[in-house]
Amino acid sequence: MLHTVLDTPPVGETKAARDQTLAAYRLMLTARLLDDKYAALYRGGKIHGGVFLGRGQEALSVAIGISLKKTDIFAPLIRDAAGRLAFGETVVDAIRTYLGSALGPMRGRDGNVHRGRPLEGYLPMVSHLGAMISVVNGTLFARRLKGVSGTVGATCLGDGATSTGAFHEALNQAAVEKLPLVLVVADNQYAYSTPTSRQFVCEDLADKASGYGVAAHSVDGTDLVACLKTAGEAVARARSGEGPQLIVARLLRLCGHGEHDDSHYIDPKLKTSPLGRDCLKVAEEFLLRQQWADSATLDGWRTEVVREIEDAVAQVRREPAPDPYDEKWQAISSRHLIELHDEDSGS
Amino acid sequence: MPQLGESIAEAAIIHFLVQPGDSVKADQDLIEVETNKATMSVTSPCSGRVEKFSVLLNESYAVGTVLGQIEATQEETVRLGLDGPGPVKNAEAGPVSRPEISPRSGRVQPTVRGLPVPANAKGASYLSPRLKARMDELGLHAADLAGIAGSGAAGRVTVEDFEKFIAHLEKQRMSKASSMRVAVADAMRRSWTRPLATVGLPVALDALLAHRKSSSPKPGPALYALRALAIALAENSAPAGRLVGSKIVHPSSIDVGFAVEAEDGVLVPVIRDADKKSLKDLTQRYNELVELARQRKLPAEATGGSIATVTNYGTFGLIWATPIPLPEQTLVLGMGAGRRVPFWDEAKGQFLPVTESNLTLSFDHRVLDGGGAGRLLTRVADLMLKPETL
Repeated sequence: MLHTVLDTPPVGETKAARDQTLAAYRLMLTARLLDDKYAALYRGGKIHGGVFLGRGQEALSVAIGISLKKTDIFAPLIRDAAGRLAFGETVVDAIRTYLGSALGPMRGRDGNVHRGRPLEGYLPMVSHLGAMISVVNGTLFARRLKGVSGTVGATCLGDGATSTGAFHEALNQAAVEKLPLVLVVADNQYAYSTPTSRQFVCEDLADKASGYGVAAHSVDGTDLVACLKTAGEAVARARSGEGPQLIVARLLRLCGHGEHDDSHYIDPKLKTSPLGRDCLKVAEEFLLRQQWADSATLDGWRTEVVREIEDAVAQVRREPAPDPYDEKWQAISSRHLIELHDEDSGS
Repeated sequence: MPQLGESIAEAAIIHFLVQPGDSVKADQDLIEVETNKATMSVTSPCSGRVEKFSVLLNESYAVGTVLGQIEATQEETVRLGLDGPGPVKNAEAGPVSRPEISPRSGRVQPTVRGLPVPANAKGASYLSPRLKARMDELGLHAADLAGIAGSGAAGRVTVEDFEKFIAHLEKQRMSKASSMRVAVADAMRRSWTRPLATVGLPVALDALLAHRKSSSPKPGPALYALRALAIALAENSAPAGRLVGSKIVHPSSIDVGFAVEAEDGVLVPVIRDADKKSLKDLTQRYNELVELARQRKLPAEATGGSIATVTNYGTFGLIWATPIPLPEQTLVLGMGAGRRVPFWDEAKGQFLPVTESNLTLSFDHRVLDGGGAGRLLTRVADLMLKPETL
């Protein structure tokens, strides 16, 4: 069933719901303004490598990020600036990665989206579509073997990834093992430039879940309140041992696949359809209508966030670049793995 | 010019959105450009005043090209760390001492419009970025690492292996290779990428030597071979063709070079249209060119563009060799030292003394087989038996 602002019953004007929605909105706004800054820096030649933005997907992304606990596992995709911030990534770490600062989580060796802090459950993504589901499965399974319980693992995909073998294998495996996996699919109408009509023929991607024996949740990806409700429920069900949960959010990617792509192929009719609504504006209108915030407050937030981002960019541009002579060229976490192994064998 | 896409090497300027003298803000769109995939705008890196654009409308520029200059405010400059003290070093120097590196100019070379990636890849084996940086600094090629046993994963050469190799070299006596040596090395390395083969046969030189004795000025023995080769190739130039892709490129004129040893290397002066002038007419030119080559003063018109080379390794006392053709040639004809040897004369039923030399033909086996090479060499030997016809 599709949730929208109109048919969602009032979220009980409890303070908790209000606070969560406001916090989520501020994270969405930060993600949007960060994306705008990345785009400008890229087209000014200050970012090397690809830039992939999440415009139009912030509501879905922030909803999953904010629904997770810090002890959970999160494996975001390229359009998850909002989810990354919600899971605890700092603005300065995000910018450090894009600008290649040696002080960033990737130590400046890898640009853009392959960043993470694996020891904190924040997994750096593998670019291949659908590949992260198996990685999250493995991490969850390892925790189960170690006797760690009560944690959830979430990862994000696009509609294109549901056409891959990796998606099929991993979702089936998660179902068989009854892993606490939350799979978030942003059905954003295009896999790069391939429309969904050339991707799948089922009515709703959520229909695929029953074939694997997995619970499914469909949601309007342009509606923050609906996304928060759906993601919150799915995470809670996974945590309580009900097995994998598939969330499918329908929305429209409001940008190119990457900033090198001018997205001329997007059907103009989609842009004016309900799918093409900007989730940030929808959320803003909701907050004003509920009188949870006034426009002066929201304008103030925007000014604050812009300043935070500009200061972070200025700081990072003064930071050192990686140095091939100082760099050890080892994989991101292999040193930690070796240390962990030593501890294990010593105890 | 920013890299506007992973496979984009260049973009064309299609619209200037601001003019020199205009004030611009950071992130403002300045220039509209077109790649072979999309149209997009290049943004301003900072706020300030547009000083000038250094690119032209409708021209394509490589990624990395300076498009223009913006005069930034002092405040902006300090804020973005664009000027003033360099970046703060956060780590101590690694085990490898770090020499000064001068930025290589012209790293990005403009390419043909539409070419997807800059074509400057070299070497197939894995070298870490750190090792590559170190090799670039010392001007070494991947081929120079051939003698190092790598201790890294899957036998790869680590920077530590490399530094040990360099330290070991430094304990030995080293001298600088001349530019001539480096050039010959490069030509031989490129030529060796082809399958090369050699055929040979002996030829009696008695008639040639008698002819030479009675001539004035005296033609060098190599000139007889050169002239014989020119005549043979004029009859059938196919063996001197070059294989390029799936096509044979035929010679347009019979220009033949000959090897002359010069200080620390070999030079190859060229005799143009060697099939159209007699041995007698070529002798003076040949002697001049030998002298000019030894002085390393060859005129431009006497170098390059030849279709085959003759080398008289007999001058070093050698009777047999397998020379390597020049990279742009298919053939090299070699001539060994003449020796007095017994020859069985069937008619007289006895051995007779003759002066004999080995002729060798080294060739690119992709173009020519043993049969074709053998027929060409046999024809050259036959011609050399009748020097008066040369």
